[in-house]
Amino acid sequence: MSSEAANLKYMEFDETSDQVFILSRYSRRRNSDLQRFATTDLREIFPVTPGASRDKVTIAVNLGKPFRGQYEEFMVWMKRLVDKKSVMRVGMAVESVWKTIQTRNAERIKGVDLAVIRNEEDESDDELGGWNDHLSVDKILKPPAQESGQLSSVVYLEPDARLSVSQTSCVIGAQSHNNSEAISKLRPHQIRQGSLSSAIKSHPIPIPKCYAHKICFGNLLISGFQTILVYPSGQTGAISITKGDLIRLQPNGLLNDTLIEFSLKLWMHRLEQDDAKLAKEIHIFSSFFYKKLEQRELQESYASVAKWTAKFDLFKKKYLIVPINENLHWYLAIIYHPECVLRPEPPYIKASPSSYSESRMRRPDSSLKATTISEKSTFEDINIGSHWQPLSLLDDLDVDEPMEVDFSTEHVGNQQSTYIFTLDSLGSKALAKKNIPETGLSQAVYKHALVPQQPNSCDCGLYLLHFVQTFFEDPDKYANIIRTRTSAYPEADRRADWKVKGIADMRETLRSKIKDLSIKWKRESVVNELKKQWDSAAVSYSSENDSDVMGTASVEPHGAAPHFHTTQ
Amino acid sequence: MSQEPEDVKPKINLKVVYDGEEVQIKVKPNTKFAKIFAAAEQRFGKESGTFKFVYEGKRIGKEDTPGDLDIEDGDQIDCFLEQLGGWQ
Repeated sequence: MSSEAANLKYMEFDETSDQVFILSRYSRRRNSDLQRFATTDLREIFPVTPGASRDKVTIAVNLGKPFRGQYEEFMVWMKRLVDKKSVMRVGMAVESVWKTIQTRNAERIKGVDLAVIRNEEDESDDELGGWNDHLSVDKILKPPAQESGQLSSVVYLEPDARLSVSQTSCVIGAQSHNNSEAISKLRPHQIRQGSLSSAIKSHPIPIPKCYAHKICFGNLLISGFQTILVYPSGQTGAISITKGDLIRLQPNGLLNDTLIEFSLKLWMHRLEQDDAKLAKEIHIFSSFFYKKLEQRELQESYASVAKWTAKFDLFKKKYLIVPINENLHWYLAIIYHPECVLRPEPPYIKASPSSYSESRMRRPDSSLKATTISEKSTFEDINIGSHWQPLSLLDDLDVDEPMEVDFSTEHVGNQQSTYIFTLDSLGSKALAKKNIPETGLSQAVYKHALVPQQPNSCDCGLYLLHFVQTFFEDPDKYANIIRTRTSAYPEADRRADWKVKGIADMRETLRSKIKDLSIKWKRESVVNELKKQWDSAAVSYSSENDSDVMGTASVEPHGAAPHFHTTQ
Repeated sequence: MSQEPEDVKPKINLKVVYDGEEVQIKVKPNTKFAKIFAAAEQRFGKESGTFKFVYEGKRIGKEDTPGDLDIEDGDQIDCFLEQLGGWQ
């Protein structure tokens, strides 16, 4: 029995069987625990009874047979939740329950994706961290209809992702028409039987509104593979948006790499029309760029992305946009005037000793590199990786501290340095990149921007997009804001400066934009397909003609020719 | 005789990398990536649709072919799992 988050046990992934994840939420004393927990958007799926002093909820999540990646993602997600809110505890009991389910009830649990069971108060287990060892498996397995008073919400879904493609589209169809009412009226057994479209028309059993994107951890979204848009169509590097991606734009949905990249492309496209000059000065990296960099040792990681920038001169750009995804969180780095790192180091910018020695330790071969770099300043020779050494996430360390630059000695208006701004809507975390001083080269100045903070746990992707848009409305102004604002920069001012009001309807705007583009794209695809068919028909027609002409040359006198000539 | 030209086209080796692991996949320049994706995912033991594929920092589409992207023998394709973000 564990009573602390540190003792959590998680099942190893096993791809041969359904993955069932069981946890219990329990509060012995304080309602505040429940309240705290309830502030996450899981509250709808895992309902809380207000006022209940001892309230225990056991949750079984059957993930079906997820992909390993999805399972791991789910685990990361869960762990984060549990670490934050130590209200959630999982102990050894899980395993026994799990085993029982596997051996004795495999058939029965199949089809249950998520079951929430509200247990009666149990006096006997008050010191057991919420785990009721004799938790009856039958309780979990009982279908909702037969336990109506107990179960607050149960969702049945076909666990086999491959089978549920058509169901998915039904759900999406209903959701995208804002028809969560209809979905909330689904009868579980109907979902299981796959007759979702007819189920939408019928009724009971409430299913939480946020359920659609929750189940993405199970299997619903996984199957939303159908491409609804390729943007920009016909270009290399185009982004394919699927139905599953679109679902993520619903309230509380988490944005994924595809949506981030798509939105940045969309924004760039607009900028190219509005301000072509500025657009040319910007390079947007893929969200996998940073992932690639941080994966390996410095040398290796540089080599692995060297080709990513091989087709243009990175240092001719004024701004580099790097969307970063770490620990299920999106944030943004903007590199401002990257070319400045190529200049000799100005004497007045000095890293504090601590960061200096630390960086030395991290990067043993700086002298070797510097000689190559100082001669030529083409981008191939620059080890950009060295300026990009990621700092691992250290919660207890104030990473801002050692990297602070004394701006009083610097002419802020006079651009002398390369800056790396990180814009993080969960600023307190200060996930940061570290700049490494390089002999003979200027050091990039790291600045953790003071930006508005997201009020929830799902919008960081939107904040990232919004920061990009807003920053480039007036790059110099915002660069200045970032460089000069100190810790006494109230949230209200940040929100005003960064115009966060624009975020409110962003999901809807993006969704309708995708839908509009999707209609166009589908139309184009049909036209292209028709064209292709027509072309190939034309080719075969003309080749028929050719052979006819050759073959009928001698026949001409017999009368076929006149007709042929008139058609010419 | 009529199908000869296709076989004559040189095959190219793609280096497909996921999380440090590498597999080689031999393809024709006109093979659609949908097929290559499936092969790569199979080699890494993933279900189809798991990965996002990137070549030189750019997304690869299912309908693209190595020829479309000027991919040469020995070039590297990167696979990534989906990135999600929102939680604190």
